[in-house]
Amino acid sequence: MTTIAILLYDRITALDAVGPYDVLARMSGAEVTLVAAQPGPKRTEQGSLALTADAPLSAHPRPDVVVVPGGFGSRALLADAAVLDWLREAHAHSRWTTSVCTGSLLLAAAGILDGVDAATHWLAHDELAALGAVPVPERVVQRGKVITAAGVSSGIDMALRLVAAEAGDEAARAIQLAIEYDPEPPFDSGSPDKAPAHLVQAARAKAAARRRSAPAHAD
Amino acid sequence: MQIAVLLYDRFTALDAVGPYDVLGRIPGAELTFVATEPGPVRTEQGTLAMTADAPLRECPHPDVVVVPGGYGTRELFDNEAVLGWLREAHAHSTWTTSVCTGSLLLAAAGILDGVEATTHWLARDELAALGAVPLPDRVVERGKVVTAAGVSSGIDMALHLVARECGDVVAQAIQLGIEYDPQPPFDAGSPETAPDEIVALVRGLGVQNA
Repeated sequence: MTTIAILLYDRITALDAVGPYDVLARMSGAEVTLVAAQPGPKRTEQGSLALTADAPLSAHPRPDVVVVPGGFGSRALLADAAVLDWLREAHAHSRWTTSVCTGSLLLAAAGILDGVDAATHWLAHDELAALGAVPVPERVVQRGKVITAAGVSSGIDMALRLVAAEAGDEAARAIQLAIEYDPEPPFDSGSPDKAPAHLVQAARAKAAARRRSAPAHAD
Repeated sequence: MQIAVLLYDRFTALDAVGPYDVLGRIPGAELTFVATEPGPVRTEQGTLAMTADAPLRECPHPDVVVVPGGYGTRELFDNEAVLGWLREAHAHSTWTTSVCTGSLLLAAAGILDGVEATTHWLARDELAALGAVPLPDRVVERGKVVTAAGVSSGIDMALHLVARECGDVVAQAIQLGIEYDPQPPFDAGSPETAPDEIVALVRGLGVQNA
């Protein structure tokens, strides 16, 4: 059995949590629980979807696998002792400590990424560096038992790598086939290196404006 | 633009959330999760609940209908509340869409009679039995009906839909926003590319995964 805890909080990015969920929950022997400081529904950034945290952090102090999704709301937790202490304690005993998108900011705020290479959303590299980690522009970064993924959709790739590491390549391939993950994006615009330059600039300007107006509300 | 995503017991989480996290980023999109009865709805594995915020009757004519798949679809083939809502919504929608075995529900509602559509690769026979013409493509657009293959294909379908509805630039900006630059660690995502023994393994597990 592999116990897996996925952290939820207000203003989460839904796909950050559900991409890994739908991969990891299919792993044989996986026992997945959505956890939060207080159980109950947690709304996404857009507010139009609630995911339910079924258990408080205190009920799952030592999961085998920790998954920390990102979202605007991650910034509101950078000094939240309940969440950061849980992350430290869980990480001290986990087999794998993982994040998606700006979830790595929370790992960094907990001191788990001091001087460690890690990925995050491409718009949050500076924030990650400011918290003591070493941002790497890769989709999935594994350093020891810490696996961090880049923005939002990269959690699917991260979770498949995690299944391969935890249960073997055959199990990972079978899950990839079950979720029919044979991506065919209609454009090649999924990273700042590939997207049209004006879109990258516009996204950077929008993120900078958000940070100026409401520091806790950037990506 | 009003978008309704249908929830029901034993749906597949990523079928709903892939399109959600793309369509929810369209400027001005008003997205609502709907179900026969509002409240928490659990996934196939039972370990995740998402909240349906409105009953079907409060959202009779959305501009875009999204029907995710999941093992629970099969329990709705005779559910007149759901099928009647789908028929009425489809009669007025700009786009009627599905992911994975969500197309089985569109077919059960009579929306896909003789129409080419896609579904999870394990459910092509079921789709044909309901009167549609299954194609092995990842995204199929026929008129205003856009169907997607298994689970993760809803992300591609939704980006396709954004491009059709709002233009390529908006779709590209959303693709960049969700950093959708896929790098699966294996090339096993379709029955054509996966090793034979993996296809046999997943086929053996059956449609619980679809």
